[in-house]
Amino acid sequence: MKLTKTQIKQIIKEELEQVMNEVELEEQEALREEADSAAKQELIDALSQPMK
Amino acid sequence: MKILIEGPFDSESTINPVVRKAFAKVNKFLTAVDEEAKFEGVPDVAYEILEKLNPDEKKGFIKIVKSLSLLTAGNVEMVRNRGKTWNRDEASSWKEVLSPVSQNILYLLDFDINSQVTAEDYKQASIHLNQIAGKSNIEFVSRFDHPMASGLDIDPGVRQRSTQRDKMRYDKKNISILYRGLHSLPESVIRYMITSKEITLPNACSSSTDLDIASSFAGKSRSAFNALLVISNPKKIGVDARQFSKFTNEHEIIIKGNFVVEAIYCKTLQTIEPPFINTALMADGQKPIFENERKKKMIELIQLGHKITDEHLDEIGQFAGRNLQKGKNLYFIFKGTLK
Repeated sequence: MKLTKTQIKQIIKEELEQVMNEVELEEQEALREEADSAAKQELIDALSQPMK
Repeated sequence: MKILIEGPFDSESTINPVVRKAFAKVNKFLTAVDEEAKFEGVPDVAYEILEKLNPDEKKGFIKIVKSLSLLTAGNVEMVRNRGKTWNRDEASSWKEVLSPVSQNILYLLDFDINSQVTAEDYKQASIHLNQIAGKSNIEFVSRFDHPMASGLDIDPGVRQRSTQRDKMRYDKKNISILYRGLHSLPESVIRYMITSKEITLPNACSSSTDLDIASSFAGKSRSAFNALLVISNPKKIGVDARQFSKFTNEHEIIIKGNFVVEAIYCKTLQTIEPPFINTALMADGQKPIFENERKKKMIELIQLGHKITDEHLDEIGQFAGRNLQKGKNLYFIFKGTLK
């Protein structure tokens, strides 16, 4: 099967977009995990206080 | 100046069963003693129980009372940091930390209540509470465990039926449900709580058998989000501080473990009404957020702020919104089980 230059460009573009999306998702996931970890610690601190 | 006094390290991970039973008995039978009598000296019932302990068991009993007293009436921060911020000039005496009944009991057990609370005491309390607060340390005590009941000639059938009734009452009521209030929670923390299936209760977390205590604490500040944990405790986990704490009106149980969230309720902050009345939204605590529309709705509400506005009412819709009062705070109630 022969691919035209335009088709190759299109395939590369789509692949690149997919990779970029995955990277973005991974970054978002890492940021969320970081935020969750900070929130978890803050909650532990709040729960460590006596009810006075 | 920080001074850490080294002392013996006790590696016991659980309470000696004899001590645990004695602690449960004293706790149970002191409830029937007049407050005035507790101030006057060691009540007879406690005396009878404690005198049967051997020297090592007495030490174990003293250790529990010291640990829970430091958490409930000492410096909580120092319990957390294991005495690292202890300062000799500001150190209090045990007499200042102990409740009158604890003073009398520890005095009976030959502990010098006039001695100073040391950094090592805080360290030991921290280690000890970490070891015992997450265990099932709250034992069943029947009326026949009363020291005065040992010589009574009671029909075995009556004894069995009465014990069963006591056990049913204990299983149903006694610390089966605990409450923990939280206030001033930022959006990130309430979001984390809504999206988590389990919440870690840290080393020696305060809870109460009294809903009003936890609700009042939850409503103490209205500057951010407010929450209440309604904790089912079938394994009777925790250390019962109710009779020994200096603040007996707090009905405090010291707990530790994982709180498995079963349901989340969203309503208007109203500390004087029962927790599950007039709720606006209820979400399954175990269902992940991506397939839980109600959790998503709760997240959308918290993004609009902790004080209920027209935007909140528009977001939640007219039907559910009838239970939200504009101008008041959002209140999240987490119902679950301590494991």
